[in-house]
Amino acid sequence: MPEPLQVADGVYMFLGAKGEVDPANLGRIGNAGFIVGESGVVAIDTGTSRQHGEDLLAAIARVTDKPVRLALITHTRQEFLFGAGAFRARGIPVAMHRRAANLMAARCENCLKTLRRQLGETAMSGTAMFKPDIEFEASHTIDPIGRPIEVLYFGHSSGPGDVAVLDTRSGVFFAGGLVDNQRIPDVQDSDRPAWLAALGALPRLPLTAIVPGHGPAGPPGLVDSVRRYLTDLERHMAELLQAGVPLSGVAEAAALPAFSHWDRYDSIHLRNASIVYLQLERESMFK
Amino acid sequence: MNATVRVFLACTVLMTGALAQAEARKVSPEETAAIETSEIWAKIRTQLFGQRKIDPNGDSLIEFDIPVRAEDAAIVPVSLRTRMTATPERFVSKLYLIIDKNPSPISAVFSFTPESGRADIETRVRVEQYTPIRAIAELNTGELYMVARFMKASGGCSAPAGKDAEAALANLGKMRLRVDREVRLNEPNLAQLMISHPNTSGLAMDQASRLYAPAYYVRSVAVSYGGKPVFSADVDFSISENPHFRFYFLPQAPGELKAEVVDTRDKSFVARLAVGERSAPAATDAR
Repeated sequence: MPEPLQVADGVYMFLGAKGEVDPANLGRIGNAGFIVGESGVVAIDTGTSRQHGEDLLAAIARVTDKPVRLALITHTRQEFLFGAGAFRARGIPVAMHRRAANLMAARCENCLKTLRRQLGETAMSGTAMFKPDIEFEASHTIDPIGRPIEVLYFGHSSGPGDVAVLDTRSGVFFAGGLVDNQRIPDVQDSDRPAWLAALGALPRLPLTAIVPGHGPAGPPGLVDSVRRYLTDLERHMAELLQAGVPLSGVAEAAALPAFSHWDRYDSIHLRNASIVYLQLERESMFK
Repeated sequence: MNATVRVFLACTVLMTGALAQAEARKVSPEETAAIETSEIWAKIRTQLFGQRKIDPNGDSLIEFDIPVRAEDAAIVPVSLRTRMTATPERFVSKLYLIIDKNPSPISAVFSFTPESGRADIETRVRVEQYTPIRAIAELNTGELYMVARFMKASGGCSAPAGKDAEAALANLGKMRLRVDREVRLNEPNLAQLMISHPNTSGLAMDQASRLYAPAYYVRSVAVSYGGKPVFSADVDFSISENPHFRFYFLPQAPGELKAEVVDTRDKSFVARLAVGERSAPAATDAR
């Protein structure tokens, strides 16, 4: 059963498992959370499977008997998406940025197939593709629970349609795809300059704590470690390209020892290295 | 993924250089069986080589590197280095790259001449599913040598978001020829050819629109130096988007390196690079 951790008064998170998707962790490797207002609850992200969504709802019900009014999905990664069916089955609307919904429609049928293969039919039973009930474009404030919540869109940054959620009363910031803690951020769908710009803008917001997409909650300074990783990664890949290292040699030369203790260093970091190398190579063609 | 595999992967990342490459070459009994009993290969073998003898232990002649783990199945680096000094009497004239389970298994046929200096090639391929992948070297004397590996790569969630087809076509056929170091006469020099081309297979469906992008790919590459052929390739959509080739040429005097590329709509593209006695790293775009 997921255990809610209190981050601030009325603000909770569920900490995802470390490592890769496997039958032992049921693929529940992303964080989720919820905010309790005067009259109801807003859930943030929905988990990996229908059953995960059910478990999150049951855990919320043990904290408060107020009804869940809305589920907000911060970004298009399987561990945040596929519990949506549990919420929708209870008539709780699920909201996503339009571009995140489009990316999900274009890609996630394959993710779901892969998840079924990795986790088995039982763990994934009842899990299906869905279309969000609410799609939005721009940053906006919502208040379905007697507690104003800001949904913040920074443009295509860590991913197209990635949003963050700010509880203005506590200053807790659910960073979605923008920030991971002690875990290698995934650059696959990102626009890195825009991502770095968004991270640069965060210190201007009145934040007290960050709930990252992956890894434990932490102080606003978490932003700096992600910026450092992205900057170091790009610099290192530019050096390899300059030195004439071929793509086949990138994995071997990709090491960034300062981040080697972060979760998924042995998988996501290697993929990031190859992605950034190819992007820089492509940019060099048009200089 | 089970714990043993994870530990294995973590260890391989920590290993460096030759050790990691040796580890990559370990082939399990199941994989050996897949390589040896492949029906597709039996057909291709007859089609390409009839009853000619193929030495199955080509490792003494060919160094064949594929990644331990492909970071992106759409862009898998493949490196072939021949351990043989080319002479006009005895040289590697062709390298065949066969990916058994790809929709078009005969993925590339590379041709070399004594002017290549070295029959080495690195390119990037798409790999549809777990498959044997093999390289066959043909000498001008008619001898055939094969090296086979087993490739673990498949699409799944790593499939990229639908690309902006119009933006890709705007750069269609842009090319860049590049030499990284000062060119030295009378020895093999490394060159790179980058081609901006969608190289679509016609087999990939956009999950959202349910439409297939039409097949449209580079089918031939011919590189000459001072008017003499040094490297050519008959290729298809097994080669990744934005085809990329690293190869050698053996200049005996200053001259022009010229690449001519033809795609399946019979569009041809040309890139040239002047190579002087002391040429600096330089680049040129297609005409």
